[in-house]
Amino acid sequence: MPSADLTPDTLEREYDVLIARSGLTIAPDRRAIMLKCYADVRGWSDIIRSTRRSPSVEPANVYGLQTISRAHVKEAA
Amino acid sequence: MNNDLHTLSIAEAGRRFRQGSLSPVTLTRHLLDRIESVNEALHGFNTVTADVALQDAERAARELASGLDRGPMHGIPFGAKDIVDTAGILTSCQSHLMKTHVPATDADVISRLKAGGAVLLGKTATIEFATGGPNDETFFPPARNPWDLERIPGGSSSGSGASVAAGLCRMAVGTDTGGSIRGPAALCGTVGIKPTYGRVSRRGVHPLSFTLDNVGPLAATVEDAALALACMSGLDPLDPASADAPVPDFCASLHQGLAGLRVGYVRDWAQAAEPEVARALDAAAALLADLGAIVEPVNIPSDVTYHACGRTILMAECYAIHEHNLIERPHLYGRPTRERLMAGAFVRGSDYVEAMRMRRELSLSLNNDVLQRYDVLLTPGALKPAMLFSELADDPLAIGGMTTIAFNVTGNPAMCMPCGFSESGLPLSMQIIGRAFDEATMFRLGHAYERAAGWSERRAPIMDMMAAAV
Repeated sequence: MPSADLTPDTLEREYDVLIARSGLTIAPDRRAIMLKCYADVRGWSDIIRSTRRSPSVEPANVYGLQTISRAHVKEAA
Repeated sequence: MNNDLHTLSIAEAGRRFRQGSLSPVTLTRHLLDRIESVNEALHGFNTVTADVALQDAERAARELASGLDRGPMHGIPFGAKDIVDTAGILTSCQSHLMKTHVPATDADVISRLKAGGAVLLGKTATIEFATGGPNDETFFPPARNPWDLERIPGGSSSGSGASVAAGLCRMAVGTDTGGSIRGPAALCGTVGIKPTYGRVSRRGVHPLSFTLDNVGPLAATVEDAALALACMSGLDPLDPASADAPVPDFCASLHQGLAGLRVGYVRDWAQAAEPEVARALDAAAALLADLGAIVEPVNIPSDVTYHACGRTILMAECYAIHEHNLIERPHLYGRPTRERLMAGAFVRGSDYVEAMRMRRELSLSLNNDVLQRYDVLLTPGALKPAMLFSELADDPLAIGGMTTIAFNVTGNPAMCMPCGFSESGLPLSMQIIGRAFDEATMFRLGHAYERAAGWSERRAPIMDMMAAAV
């Protein structure tokens, strides 16, 4: 669900589940600021998912320099 | 008589070494004296290794006198960010978690600099584990900005930027995952280059984000940065991301001028900048055109898009690295670093994969389209001058107006350098982006601009104040 469609309660419930699942301890007085962080990360997720990608756009070779940064050098040569 | 030695360029110091009019020992002593005078206020260095530095400088002097010349960095003192392993020297990552970490071996980049005859002065301050914000909970105090000690120097290569700008060394090793070399360069008025991903080995550098981390130099001038990067670069078979790419003479084309060079000016990105930054960037673009470059406006995806992609990857990867300690020993992190790292728990597996897919699209688009039409791109570096420590936001994810992570996402080389000063006297910056493995063209453009604009002649007040004292 896009962040814009979330109610504050839903956002908090998601946050609580993720924190519980992670095993992290967040001080009570930092809950509000960490909840805002969660909303920011959720917002990035929306941006990342704003384009529909074909199955061929895959990241298995993103670590390979040939593809991430040198493909054009080879092609130009 | 020797009060200005800390302002010598690497090239000029090297010339004097070889003429016999200056000794590496004299230069090293001068810089160690300056560190002793300045560092208590600046906190640029965490650890100073004076005895070893003097021994290394004496060796360099003997070698040069005997005709053994290891290249442009021979006898040149430098600092290294305190997440870069140095054999027998504390490498603290600015963290209580690493306060006893003394590596047995040097990082590859340190080995290369030592093989080139460079003289390690010590370890420069960073932000804890190269992420979060400056704070007083870390093992060493945060570095301060030489132009105004009440302001931040940028991060996370904060001590490297501050030390170069304050004349404590002419070059310092930094690392850059989302702008950690270019940010301090921008805010401290130095040159900082994140080379092409794979150009400089990351072996022996504490990782923040495996696929975004880069190592590079911060220096006082473009030529100094070029000389340092050449010494730092090359294939390292023990770094899985190291590239088997030739290392050219980055200085060979420095003086070729800009006639016909095609510059894509990403002016859209300056719209979010403070007006004086945007004006300085427009003036820089105009000067580049006057120097013979063909400067045209170009559109690339919004910085917000790159930011979302890059930070999703970064958060997931750094969380994976720190997860155990965040659960078992969270109190040993300073709060800003702990909370920023913890936010990595919010990134889902599918977010990370989608970000990597998006990264591939962005990288191919930039390299196969935009950078086929232009030799380099011009963007803002920092969107505003250095802020006060007291203005730091209580938000673990705030990064303070940098437009740098885009080129960690794509892997391209990117360099920040001064393009003016604010009305309050603080450095303003521009960013030059090159084709993959074509740092030389960036240096060519940056050098021509630097000589024409003259901003590198301006010194932080601390340069002259302390020069009189030492």
